[in-house]
Amino acid sequence: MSAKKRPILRVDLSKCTGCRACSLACALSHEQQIDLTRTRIRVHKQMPVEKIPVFKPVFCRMCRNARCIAACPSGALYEDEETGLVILDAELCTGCGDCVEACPFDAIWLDEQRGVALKCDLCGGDPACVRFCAPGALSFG
Amino acid sequence: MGTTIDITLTDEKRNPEFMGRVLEVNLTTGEAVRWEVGKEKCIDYIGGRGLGARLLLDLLPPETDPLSPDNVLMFVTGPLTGTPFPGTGKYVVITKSPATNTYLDSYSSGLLAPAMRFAGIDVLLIKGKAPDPSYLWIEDDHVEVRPADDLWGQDAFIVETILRDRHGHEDVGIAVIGPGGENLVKYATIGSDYYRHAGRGGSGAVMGSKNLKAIALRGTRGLPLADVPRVLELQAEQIAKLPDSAGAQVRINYGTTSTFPVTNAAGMLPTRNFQSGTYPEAVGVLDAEGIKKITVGNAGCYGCIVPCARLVEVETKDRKIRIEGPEYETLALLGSNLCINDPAFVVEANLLCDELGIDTISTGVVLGFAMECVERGLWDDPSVADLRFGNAEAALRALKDIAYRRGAGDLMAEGVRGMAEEIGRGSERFAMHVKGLEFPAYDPRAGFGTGLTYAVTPRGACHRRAWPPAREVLGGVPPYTIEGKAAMVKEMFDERCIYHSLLVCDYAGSGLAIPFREYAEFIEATTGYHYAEEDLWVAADRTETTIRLFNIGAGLTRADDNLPARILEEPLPDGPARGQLFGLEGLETMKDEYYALRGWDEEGVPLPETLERYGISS
Repeated sequence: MSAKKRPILRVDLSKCTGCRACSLACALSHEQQIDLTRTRIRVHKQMPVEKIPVFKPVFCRMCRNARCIAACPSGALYEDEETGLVILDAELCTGCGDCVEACPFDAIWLDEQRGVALKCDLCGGDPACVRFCAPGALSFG
Repeated sequence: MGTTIDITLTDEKRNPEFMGRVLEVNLTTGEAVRWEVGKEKCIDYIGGRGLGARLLLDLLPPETDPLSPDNVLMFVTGPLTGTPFPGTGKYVVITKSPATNTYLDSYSSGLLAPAMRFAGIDVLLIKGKAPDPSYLWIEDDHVEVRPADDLWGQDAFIVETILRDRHGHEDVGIAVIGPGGENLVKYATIGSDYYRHAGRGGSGAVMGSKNLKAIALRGTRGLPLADVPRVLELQAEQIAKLPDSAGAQVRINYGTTSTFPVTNAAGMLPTRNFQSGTYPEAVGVLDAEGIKKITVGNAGCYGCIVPCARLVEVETKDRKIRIEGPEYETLALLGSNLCINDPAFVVEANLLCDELGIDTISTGVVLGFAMECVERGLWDDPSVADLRFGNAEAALRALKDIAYRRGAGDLMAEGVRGMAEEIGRGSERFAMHVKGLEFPAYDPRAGFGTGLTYAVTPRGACHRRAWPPAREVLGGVPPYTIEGKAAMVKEMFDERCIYHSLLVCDYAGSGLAIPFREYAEFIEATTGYHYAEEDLWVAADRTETTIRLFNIGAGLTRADDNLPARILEEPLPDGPARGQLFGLEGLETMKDEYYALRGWDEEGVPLPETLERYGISS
């Protein structure tokens, strides 16, 4: 467990409009195309509208005691010693899906076509989703 | 039992410049094929409305019975669909309308549109009729007609939830009909993402006539872009404009409810079945400020930075209701038009319409017409004796009866034209429709451009072809004159036609005041193809003539470009437009001018040289 102070991606649920611009920006910056199956941030919608808030962006929380790391049998997931962030090394990932099962936030999933896990990497410190979230629901720092 | 068809694209077109990839599904035979529209035609018609209109003219004999298996039902996207630009999460349904027996385009939002593009489908074309209730499951090249025995009879919300649980919540596009579509209500809708509906003209009945309850569609290929950095740069510019864009801020803060105080003040707010143009009681109740009080959040369509939809919450006497909506048209036609000054009623009626899959606009006009007929003693069916202005309970009961065609609902399901034919006794004078499509929420007597718009719109009375209040109420153009209105309406038609062919939401686009020059840049960054702005305007004019040609083939004449006697002969009794009429003569003059501007003869038939100019043959 790391005690390091790390920058965090945050969401203000009251501002989210469910538009998925974050998902599009994420896919564009990582995959160079628009692709909802290969985004690293998803937007859950509670529809039909029963409870408020309705929309909830889902992304890796960079847990300090990450269950995905504990679950990963191949060492593809690990905590970076310097930053304390949860890192996914896709080269080592076998696509077994144990991390998907382990994550309590449903924030990690599999890329069906490449057979590896997908999760937020904070774009190396300048998350595209934050820049393209027009309502300002997402923030970083 | 369902049939599974696995098809593979022989020549997978990944070139982002390409538009016009058709997936054609024949429900009678269970066969699916992919084919492509020629590139030149795609460029000439852009996509969306334009491309769909041309395909309808090419593929459907115009005299086809709309509810026969021969009709085609198309879901069409545009070159900007699925991109991150404002308002690009839209599809248009193009078919022949059972309400009007004419060409129909009807627009909706939701994940279906981008999902189609991710599956490499620009146009989903459905033909024939399934032998049994069915739904379509499409995933890239996998097309499957599945049994829908467990879905048929259920409301649209229940079915969408079942299909999302079955096929996926995050990236599956859904189009679904409710009982309204199954029962062939003339104004049945096709719903997506619960609250988004292709509302006008009865496309849901066409889907129902094909025994098609729903479409669930997922694409995993993604949407490649010609120039990713340029797309990101252009989109960042739009986001940067937001804080200082007054138009966008009004849309974000109030959505279409901001129209209510405008029309109420202008005397064009439908009240008591268009017997009046103002409803003073609605101030602070049904208008923008009234709805603000029940608003608990905003919702945005796919990728859109102008989230104009509101999430509202009301309490009725037996339950708490939350929905996405209501829009202006719904507030006016189910509110002031019925003299029911109660947001809780409008929200509940809106929810029921969405669940049952019927159009809030037509439903409001039908109920208003029914109420006037009952109050005047023209409709003496005892089962609707209490269907009177102000009676919310009777209105809710009638609304459900319409969707299931129960009792008097069977007649109301035909729309006001069919009702007036049956009820007779002069009721057609105030049956508020054009060509069988009920009026939207603007009284043409309070802005004459709206009169011409309603009369000549190919799908009947329509507020989506042009929105003259922008000029006649908000823009300083004198409202009570026919002078210059044909040119004004033509220009506004063409402007909307460009939006609806691109296919982008005009509400987001006009809010941010995005010029077409910038849309051309969006297209170039997306597809690599450069449109000169002038080409877009030419495509719009070409499209409207193409649609006219289809309608002429369907038997339409100049006489069908008409308005109800109430609009032509009865002046409004109150409000700023009191006493104003353009009358039949005024309408005919505007039509003459409009036809001439389009290159149509005095009967409204496109001239040979016009067809030649646009390379259209009849």
